[in-house]
Amino acid sequence: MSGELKINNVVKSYGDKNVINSISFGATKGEFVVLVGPSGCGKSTMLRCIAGLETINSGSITIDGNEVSDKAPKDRDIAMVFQDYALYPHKDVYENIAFGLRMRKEPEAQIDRKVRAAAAKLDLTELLQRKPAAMSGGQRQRVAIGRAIVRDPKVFLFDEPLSNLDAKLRGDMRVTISRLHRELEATAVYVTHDQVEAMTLADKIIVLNGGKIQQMGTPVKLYYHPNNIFVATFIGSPTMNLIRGTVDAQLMFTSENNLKFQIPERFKENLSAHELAGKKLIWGMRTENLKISKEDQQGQKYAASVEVVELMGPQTSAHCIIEGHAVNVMLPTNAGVKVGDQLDLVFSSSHLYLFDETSGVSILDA
Amino acid sequence: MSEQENKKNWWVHLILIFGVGTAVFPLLRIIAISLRPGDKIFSTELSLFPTDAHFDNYIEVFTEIGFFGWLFNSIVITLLTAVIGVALAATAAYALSRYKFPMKSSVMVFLMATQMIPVVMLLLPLYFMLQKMQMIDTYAGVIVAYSVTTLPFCVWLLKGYFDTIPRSLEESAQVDGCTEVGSFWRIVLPLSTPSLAIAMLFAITQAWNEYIVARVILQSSELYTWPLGLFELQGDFDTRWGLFAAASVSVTIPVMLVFLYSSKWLLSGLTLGGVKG
Amino acid sequence: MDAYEALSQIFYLIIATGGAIFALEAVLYWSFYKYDKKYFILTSAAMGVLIAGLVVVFGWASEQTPVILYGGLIGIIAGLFNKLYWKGRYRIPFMMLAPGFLAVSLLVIYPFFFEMKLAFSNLNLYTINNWLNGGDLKFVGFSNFINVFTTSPLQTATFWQLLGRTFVWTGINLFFHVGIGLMLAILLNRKIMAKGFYRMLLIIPWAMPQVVAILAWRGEFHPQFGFINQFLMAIGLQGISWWSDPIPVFISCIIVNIWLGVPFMMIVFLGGLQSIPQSYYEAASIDGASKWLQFKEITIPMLKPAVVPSITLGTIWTFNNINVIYLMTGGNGGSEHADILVSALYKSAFTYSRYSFSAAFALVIFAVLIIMTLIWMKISKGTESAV
Repeated sequence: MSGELKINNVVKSYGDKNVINSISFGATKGEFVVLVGPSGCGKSTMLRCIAGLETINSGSITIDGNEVSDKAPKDRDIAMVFQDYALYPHKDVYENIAFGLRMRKEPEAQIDRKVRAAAAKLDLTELLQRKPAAMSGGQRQRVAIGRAIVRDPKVFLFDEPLSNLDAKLRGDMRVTISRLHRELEATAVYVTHDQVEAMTLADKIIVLNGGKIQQMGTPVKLYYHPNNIFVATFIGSPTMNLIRGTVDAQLMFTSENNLKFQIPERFKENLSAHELAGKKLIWGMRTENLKISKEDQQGQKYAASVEVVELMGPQTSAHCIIEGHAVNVMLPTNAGVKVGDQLDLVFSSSHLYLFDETSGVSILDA
Repeated sequence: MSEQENKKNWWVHLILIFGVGTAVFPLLRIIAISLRPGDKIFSTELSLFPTDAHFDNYIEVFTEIGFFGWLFNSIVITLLTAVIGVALAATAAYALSRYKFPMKSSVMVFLMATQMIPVVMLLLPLYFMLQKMQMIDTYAGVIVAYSVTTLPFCVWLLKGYFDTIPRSLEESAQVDGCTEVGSFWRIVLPLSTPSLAIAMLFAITQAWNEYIVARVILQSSELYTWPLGLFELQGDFDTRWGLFAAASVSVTIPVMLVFLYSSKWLLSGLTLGGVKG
Repeated sequence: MDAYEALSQIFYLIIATGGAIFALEAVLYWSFYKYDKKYFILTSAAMGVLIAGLVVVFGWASEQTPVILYGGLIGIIAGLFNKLYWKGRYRIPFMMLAPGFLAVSLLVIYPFFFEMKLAFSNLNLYTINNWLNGGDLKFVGFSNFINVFTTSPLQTATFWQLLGRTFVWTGINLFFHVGIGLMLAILLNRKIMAKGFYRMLLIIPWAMPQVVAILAWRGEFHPQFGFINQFLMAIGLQGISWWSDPIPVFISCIIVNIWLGVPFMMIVFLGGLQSIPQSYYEAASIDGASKWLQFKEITIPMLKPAVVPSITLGTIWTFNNINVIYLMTGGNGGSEHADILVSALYKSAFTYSRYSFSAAFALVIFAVLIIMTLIWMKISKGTESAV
């Protein structure tokens, strides 16, 4: 039965180094929360603290109203799926899944029923007698997930479970996890460094860097309204383009290479509140914000010279130079873009990404 | 193998055969002596299998002297040493493998250092201590001495193996419902059976063949382990060569077979790989 | 004592061991889990004293007051550390380490201190009975240590002679162990037939129980009926009195120890050789390096890290090897011309009953070992940084 998770001002340090710097967040019943960030940002540590595998220095962790900060992992009613699956090599699949139930001394018949139900959900029924060594990575991962769901815990914890799988399997497993989450209405905390997993699986994403929360919100919110440069460049693939420059009183953005961009009128009100004159700014442009301009199209146009072309399926990533700036643009493949082409691109977006270069903070909280 | 290579290597084979000859020579000699009838013991024959070989010596060894008594004593002492030694080593090795704690490096250095101390150095105080506790001339005294001397190496061996078991297995067990010690007992130990077996084999080999400590602690001939008994057979003036040879062969052949059988295992055990989840 | 009594002693031992471990864990449990209780330090000390008291009552301690103080001290130390500093944090590792540590401290650390006490007293054949019956020992300052260096541990050798002989023993053995072992390993590493067969037979000296092997060799060195002299006489030379002449005795011990030690070195070298990737040799031969150059520049440097620990271990084992000397020279009452430091130590303690002297002797030998180890560590650090 899923429960609610609350993290309050948790601090975790190793020696003098603060790995987690007063983090607070919550997961409501049935919510799928994803912790993303680069290596070393503290996300795995946070997960392990929730699990009880690490102690916290201060703050509290509450599950369904019960404070569990001092409790051993087994007393927290959580289940965890590990990056290396952590299947017991000397036990077969059935026993691996049944282990947690046996530890809780549940009656044999009940164990059998639950194990088979979980196995059926994950397509493991034929593999119940096999040992982990005789299975593929994807199968092992399903067993690890089965072991977690059979316990019906209050909170599910996932520690980069898909990192060791090949690309195709990763895609399949993402769908499986998503489906299970909906079926079980489970509360989950999921750690990954892959922002694609975060964007596709999360109800709520928490971006971490250096032990601090950079931003917390739904995938859509983080995508269109990033708080700072870190979140803006971390979320979204390929990465957002960044162009340095300044803005004058007429809201004309001039880059250091003299590329000009006129900020639309509708943003004037928001911007007037900020002292922009003379500040070093960064203009962010997502790769889909530039399109090949048609003959009479209105809008700000830019001339781009194509340097490198990467075919990615229906879209092609074109690395171009626009007025001396390296800009990456996603264009439809059937436009036939090649290296050396001179393109006419038009800016097309309803969102504006503008950041203060020194602080990294977004100017438009639009 | 081409003929050319064969020809080139004849000198290699020559050296190796000479080496092998030296290696097996004493063994073959005592086998030969054990098979000689009593009156020919001191013959100056150099032949390996005398023409009138017979098993009188063996019969006498098995029936008249306390040979089986020696074996019994050795077995009791060796088995208990192996069990106690490995049990103590396993928990210590686990603590050293999985945890950080104050003075950990000192403990490890200390463990290594004890390997350097010659047993003879501690024999004297040990003797007096055991005497005070009335454990001289008992199995218990020897078992105690052996268990402790075998500890450092077993700890080192087991720690090496535990280090290769991924921690996520224990963490998973703890999330599933085990205590920390529980995950050691239920998950790590069952997975370590190969290494535990090697540690026991090592402890058994050490205890089985040991002479000096047993010599000091055991005094009644009833309690002699087989090395002590064998030494008895080889006094200065009345060496009973035939019996000595027969007893030697009787002990050596099984020990060697066990060693050779498990040697591949043992040697690879010093570099045992781990467990992949 | 007969076998049945000895067996029942074992039950006694198991119960005592179990009890000791249980008691230790109880103290630790109390220390790590209940350090918040009010009278914690007091109860810890009390527990320590109680257990120490039990030990005294059983008559296991040779002195009573120190043991009780020791027990109380342990209780207090464990308690203080926990209350102020650790707060129960390292409980699992300490509790798991405890039984092993208890065993080692009882049977290695305590004897060490006991040995030091003996070294400063006057225990020998004449005073032993008095002491065993509860008498006290006289403190004699450093006289035992001085005696070690001035009087002879054995009738035939002074300390310095023994020291020198030990170094010669270790050096010669090491040289041949490594030399022959390396040579055999190189030969076994080539592509030849029956490699496994040779290897299996060549480790027989290691597989045979040492006692059997040594005594068998002793027999072969017998002046009249041993194979060695018979062979010598068969080719027209005179037999050598291996059992009595000083130098032949020593040489026979060396030969036997070399025979015993080569297989281990061979296996270690073999393992090291097999772990060197072939690609190095192939690259070198493409570059035109001769076999000798390849050996010098590839084999030796890559073998070093794999092999140095084992060589260090082997050297220490050789330095401390008492079995070979003792058994080859006939044990107590046999020839003393081949004795090295450790075998002389054994004899001075158990043959000549010079107990305190032996204790001092033992500590001196230990000091020699430590100095050697420190020098070795400096040397190997030096070569490491050079590499």
